[in-house]
Amino acid sequence: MAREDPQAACAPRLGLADLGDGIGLRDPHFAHLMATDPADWGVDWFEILSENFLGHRGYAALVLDHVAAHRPVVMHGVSLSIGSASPLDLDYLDRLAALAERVKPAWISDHLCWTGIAGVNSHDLLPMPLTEASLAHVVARVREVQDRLGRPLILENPSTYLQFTGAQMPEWEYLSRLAEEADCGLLLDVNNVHVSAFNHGFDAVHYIEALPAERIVQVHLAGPRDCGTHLLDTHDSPVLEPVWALYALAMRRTGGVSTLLEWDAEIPPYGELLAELAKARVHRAPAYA
Amino acid sequence: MPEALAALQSWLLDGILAGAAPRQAVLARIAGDAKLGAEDRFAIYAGGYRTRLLETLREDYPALRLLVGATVFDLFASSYIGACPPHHFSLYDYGAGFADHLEATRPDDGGPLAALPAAVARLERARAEVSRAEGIERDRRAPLTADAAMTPGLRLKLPDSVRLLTLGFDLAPLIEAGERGEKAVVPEARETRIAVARSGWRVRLHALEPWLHAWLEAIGPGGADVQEAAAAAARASRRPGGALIADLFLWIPGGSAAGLVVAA
Repeated sequence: MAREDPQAACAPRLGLADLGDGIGLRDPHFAHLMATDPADWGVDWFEILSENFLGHRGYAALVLDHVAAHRPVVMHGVSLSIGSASPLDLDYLDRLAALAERVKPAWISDHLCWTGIAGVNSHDLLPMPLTEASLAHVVARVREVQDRLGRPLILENPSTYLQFTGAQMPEWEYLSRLAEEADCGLLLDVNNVHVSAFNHGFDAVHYIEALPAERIVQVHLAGPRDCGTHLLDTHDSPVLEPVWALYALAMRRTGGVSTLLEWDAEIPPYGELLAELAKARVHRAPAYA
Repeated sequence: MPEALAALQSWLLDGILAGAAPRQAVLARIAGDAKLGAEDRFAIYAGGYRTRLLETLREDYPALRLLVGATVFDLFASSYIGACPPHHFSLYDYGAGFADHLEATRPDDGGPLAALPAAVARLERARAEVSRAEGIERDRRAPLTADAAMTPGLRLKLPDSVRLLTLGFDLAPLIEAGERGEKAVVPEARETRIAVARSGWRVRLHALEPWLHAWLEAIGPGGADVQEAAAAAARASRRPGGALIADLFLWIPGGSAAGLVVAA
């Protein structure tokens, strides 16, 4: 159960650093990063997709080692499947720990979701049934993962397109209780909040206001695709104006946390990515006024 | 719990893999509304699953796609996706069985070219594996010299970043055309032995004479004595041992620099 006064027991961002503004380390930018003086990279930190580097000893690993030598790196995963009813994949966790040993990430994150069951992996971030029973299940697994990795796990709210009937709480309550009861951190993806709010008809502002601000370690920004009846989390376009407003709210509530611009498809040239990231500074400015 | 969770997740995943609307019992567990019904919401996940795997295969097998065209490639890929759901946490691993699937499903009466898609897929997979493997780039030792190659008792091995293939087609022109963004060249049908290897972080194809292919196979990733492997290669390729060893000592310095062999 939640502690009586969780805020008193938890330092802002779980005591983790505010790394500043970062981008995802992606293949199309490898050549630029290797050819450019790190002083001119224009970002404070990088996030990697952990799975892209597990067991990789080729050029991408060389780039990662170079980047990690000059900037903080965060490992962001998509295959932990923390919500699955299947046992945790200990081989995956051990490989994650080995990569962390090499990269020395500022933290390790993944998603509140399940990706598969009984040995089959959908490679999608599938939604959880928001019930007391599933919450207890996930809390226990987060604790197990944190024990195995020897560090707090940071979990992200995913974009969802369906909700299960019989939900016993909204997603923001589920996440808040998960963070408190498992003593983990939150990666608040404000674009995902916007996408899910549109898809399910809830209030995005209320969602963010309901989360325990001191447990938010990082924020994700991205652009979705408008499919008419729903928004799809595609990471292939600029950040939408309503998402910037949610970002400003998140920064106001947290007092400032690491910001990461995700762009995973139709990836623009490095300079354009920096220009989009620079908007974060403008949009959060009123938060500190 | 987690029995109830396991049942719900199994139902949903089975539906996603099948690509069909799940049973009514599952749909009843999905909350729909006026904007999107339960079936529509399920379809977003089912469609996303297929699209993601299709895009992965398109990205992993560009030369095959160039050769057979986008429509036929998607038919191949859809057949694989339907038959082989992913089991590994990495999407990189997903295409590992694509060549075997193409081989197993090729038409019996398709003529000699029916074996071509599987051959191309096998080569592209080897290139992908080599690009990610531990190579020679971090090895501080200098490439082997001709003198060093002649050292009695010298043991060599294949680095992890080498794959040896025997293919029924000459695929190098197709791969090169793909890299240059040009139109596909229909490969010539003839037995071809190649090594896929990496040096200077670049993956390259090396055409091999039968004796050299046999020698590299005898060396293997575990390593072997150079002379003993040469004797095995001479038997396999029916070449006189002395001539083979003479050619080998000439080849080793270049082969070492190209990342094909290292000291064991």
